[in-house]
Amino acid sequence: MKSRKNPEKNSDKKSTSRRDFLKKGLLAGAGTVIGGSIVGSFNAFAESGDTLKVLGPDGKVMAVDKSHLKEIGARTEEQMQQAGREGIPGKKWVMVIDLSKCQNARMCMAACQHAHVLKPEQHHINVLQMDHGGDTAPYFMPKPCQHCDDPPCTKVCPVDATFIRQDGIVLIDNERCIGCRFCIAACPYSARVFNWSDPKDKEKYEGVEYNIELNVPQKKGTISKCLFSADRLREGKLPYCVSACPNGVYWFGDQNEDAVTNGTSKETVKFSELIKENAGYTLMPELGTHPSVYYLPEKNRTVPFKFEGKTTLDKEEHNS
Amino acid sequence: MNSKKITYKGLGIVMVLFFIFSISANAQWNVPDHVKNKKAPQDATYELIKTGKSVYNKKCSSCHGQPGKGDFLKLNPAPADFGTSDFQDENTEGTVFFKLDEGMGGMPSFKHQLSETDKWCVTFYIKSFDDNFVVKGEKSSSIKTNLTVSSDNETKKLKVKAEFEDKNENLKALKGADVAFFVKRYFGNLPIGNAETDENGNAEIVFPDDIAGDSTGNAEVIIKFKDTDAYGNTTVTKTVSWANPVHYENPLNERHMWGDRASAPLWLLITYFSVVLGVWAVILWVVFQLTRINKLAKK
Amino acid sequence: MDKENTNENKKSLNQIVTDLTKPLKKHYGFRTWILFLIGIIMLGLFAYVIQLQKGLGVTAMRDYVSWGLYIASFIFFVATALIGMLISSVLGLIGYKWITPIARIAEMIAVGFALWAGLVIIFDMGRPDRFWHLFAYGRVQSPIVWDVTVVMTYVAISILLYLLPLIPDMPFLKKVMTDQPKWKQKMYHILSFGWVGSEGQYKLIKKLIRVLAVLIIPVALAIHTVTSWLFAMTPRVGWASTIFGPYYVTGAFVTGGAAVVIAMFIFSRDFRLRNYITDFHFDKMGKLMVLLMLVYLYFNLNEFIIPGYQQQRGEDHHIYALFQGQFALMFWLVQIGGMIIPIILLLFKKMRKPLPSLIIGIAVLIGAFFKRYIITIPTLMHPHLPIQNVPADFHTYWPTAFEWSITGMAIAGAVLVITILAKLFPIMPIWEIAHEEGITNEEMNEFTGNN
Repeated sequence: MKSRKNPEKNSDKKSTSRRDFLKKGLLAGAGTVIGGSIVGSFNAFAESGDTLKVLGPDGKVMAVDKSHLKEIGARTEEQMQQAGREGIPGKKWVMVIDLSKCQNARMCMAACQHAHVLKPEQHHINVLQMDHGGDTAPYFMPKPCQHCDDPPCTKVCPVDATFIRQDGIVLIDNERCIGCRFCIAACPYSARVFNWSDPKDKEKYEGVEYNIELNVPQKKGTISKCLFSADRLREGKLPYCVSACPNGVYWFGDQNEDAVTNGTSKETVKFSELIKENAGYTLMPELGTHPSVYYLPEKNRTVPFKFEGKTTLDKEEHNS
Repeated sequence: MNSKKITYKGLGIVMVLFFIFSISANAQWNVPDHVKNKKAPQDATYELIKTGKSVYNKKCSSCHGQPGKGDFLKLNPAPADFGTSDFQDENTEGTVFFKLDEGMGGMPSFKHQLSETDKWCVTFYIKSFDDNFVVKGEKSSSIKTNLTVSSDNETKKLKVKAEFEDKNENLKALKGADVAFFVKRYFGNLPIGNAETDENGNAEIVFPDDIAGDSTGNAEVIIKFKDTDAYGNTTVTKTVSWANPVHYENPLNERHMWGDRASAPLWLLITYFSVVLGVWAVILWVVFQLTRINKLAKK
Repeated sequence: MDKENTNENKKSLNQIVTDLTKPLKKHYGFRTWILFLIGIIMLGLFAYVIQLQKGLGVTAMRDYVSWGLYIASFIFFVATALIGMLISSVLGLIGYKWITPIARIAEMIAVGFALWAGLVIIFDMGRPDRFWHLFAYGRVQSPIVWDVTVVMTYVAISILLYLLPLIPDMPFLKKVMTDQPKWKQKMYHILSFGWVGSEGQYKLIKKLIRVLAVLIIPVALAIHTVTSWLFAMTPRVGWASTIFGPYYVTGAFVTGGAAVVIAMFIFSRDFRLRNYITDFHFDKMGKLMVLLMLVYLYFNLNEFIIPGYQQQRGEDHHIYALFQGQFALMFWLVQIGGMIIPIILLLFKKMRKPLPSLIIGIAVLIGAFFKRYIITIPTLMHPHLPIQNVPADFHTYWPTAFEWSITGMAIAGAVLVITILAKLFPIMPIWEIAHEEGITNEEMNEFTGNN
């Protein structure tokens, strides 16, 4: 609980000693007030000389002096790690996916892959074409990480590289991950991807401060997975996939507030009512994982199921 | 022979041209000339633009964002921002309608998704950001309004008084206006009821008993006019303590198999460390005993 | 004891020492063999360096089949290492005398394969540079942490269990190996820990060996049970099985048994020790193999017939792929050629002679290797949700040249460890063989000059 309270404290660690020295000297001579104000103004134009590469608020890579991080809304890796591991207190994120609305537009997949700098074959969210055979109805099922309350993946991780936070998000720390892939084996939802070789745009993101809540930059030999857009939630924005959907498939919100908001219509409804009235369910409840992602059945579709295309990517598509 | 060769050459050029054409067609809109001058079957009115706006917010804004704000999704190719003059200069009414109809790449076709009228309404809304766009009829003039809220803890009633400024800038009761009540949630406002103001400008609702609040049962209520075009965006908020207190317990405070290393189950820690220490104690004992071999040699 | 008898014994002791130390001195073709093994290791090392540079993408593993040949090899290595515990510990404690000449061979196999099992798991890591994270951030809830712990413990005990019975042999080596390089003599001296063959020393060393022999039983069971848990603890079709622990352990005994039979043949021929490892020993090992394989067959029956009979959703695809589908050829070759036919053959006395034993042993060992492949890969190809929107190579798996080279390096590495051990120390305990021949401690001390 000690973290996050004072984020700027960490950012100018390097200049603290100088400040302390100045402060002490001035304190000895003049009064506290004067000393404080001089130190304050001094620090305002002093640069720590320590340049960091960070992701700006718009996802662009930029180089800034460490002392200016706060002004552009960026944070150091240390700060992001601390906040990222702690999560947002009092929240319990929950997603509802309305299968009757999904038309396989795949805008969610595109927005997600763009935000997390993923290759075309790497899916944090994957729209699956489900078909149980016989007379059962086929349907499209967007499948993000289920962010289980009893996650089998964090159970098996040997180094706390994947972990669950107090707000229910299962994150991955690719600075910690050893690449054993036990979590891939343990996840019944096939929600995890691995960076088998150099990640996409490796050069562009070289040396950028790692944002654990975005998992960017991606790293070779480590896991990546859906993060419920933890970075966006902190800003009060809906996840990338949720707000990209043109068809109103996704609802997202805080279970403690018992409210979910539709990413397309921005309409807010009661989570419990939405689930009860539409017979919402979770995937593979028999496994005891208690997902945070709920599905509404593929009943009363807005458009009839029509599948055109293929379920396997061509070579050209994933070599790009 | 010669003529055949020429034919092949010609064919080749055609093929190359076709190839270039098809590539460029992939990357950008291919709008036929005749649609550029296409006109809507009726004139644009403020009413139709309003309908268009609500359709736009449902179907288009998730990618294109709000016109003029540049908050469209970062996709490749980027969705257009309709507030820019670049877009308005390049696209006529007919072009917008055509693009809406056909779709391209990431943009879905709305041919069968929207009715003809809805499509024209969206077109009007998009073109309404063009300074030269002509709209028929008169815009309903919005009046200055005021909302005041009071609460009654016993009955859990929220009372709101709606007033408007008349020509002499005197506040007068606003009769027959629909007022919407919301509870503020993290990503949006949850509607909890509507009421119409009576002749004194008063409207009231009973706060529902199934609203989740914070740990002390507080919740922020937001009250607005339903018809924002008529009465403006006047909003009033009030924090009430009638919601159900949600006692949030951090699930990570308990020890779990899936928890981090600091919250490993006690029985597991005890078992693991006692077994490991026990076995290694014996191993080290054996290694230590090896030094005794030398001593035992003297006997 | 009359004089004649003593003389005869002394001659016999001389014979034993000469027979067992001769291969340590001069050895025809030894250099070629070492070069061959180093050649394979260099090739694997080259492949591994490329894998380090380019990432695990050089393997055929992808997001669905995310564990492949390396993990299959890891189980195989751990399995083979387990035989040390069965032969030198369990059978030794029961009191079987026939294991005396082969106990050290089993222990050498255990040390070689257990050491390399630890390395194979590192080859499989995406970030081997972060191996230290396991110690810095280790989570006690993870079976991988249990596995790392138990592999290290098993290696330690195996090395001790190899080393301790060597100590009484050191005086013989010091006496006989005088024509060898200085460093070797020095090593023999250090490893003797001042052994002179006093009664107290014999008492102590026997006690220590006995303690370790008891201790290694639960540790060995743990190492392979935990290895099986890496799979059984995941909610996956074909892995989430409650009998995986004993299933793996019995399979391991079969694997290690076959490895011992092969090693027995090679050592008895190449080291000219046919008088020590006789047809009698092959016969005994053959019978032991039949017993072990029958138990393993029983676990196989349980493991496959229950899901095969139930035909639950998910299990049906998996069982079909094994019995009739994609993996059927490998599955039945392994089950019939690597288990059922060997059981039937080994029931006949003629088949328990050295040469037939060797051939059967090789078949069982190869079968055992591919059995681990069958356990690891098909399950990963049958996840709960469909595999979609990924390239075609995500749907299939067959190890690349990189994986084969690196696995080859591991096998050559384990064999190299065994070769070096066999070249530095006698492959049988001189003192125990001598004891069995009725030679007393005093006579041995007289021989080594420690009287």
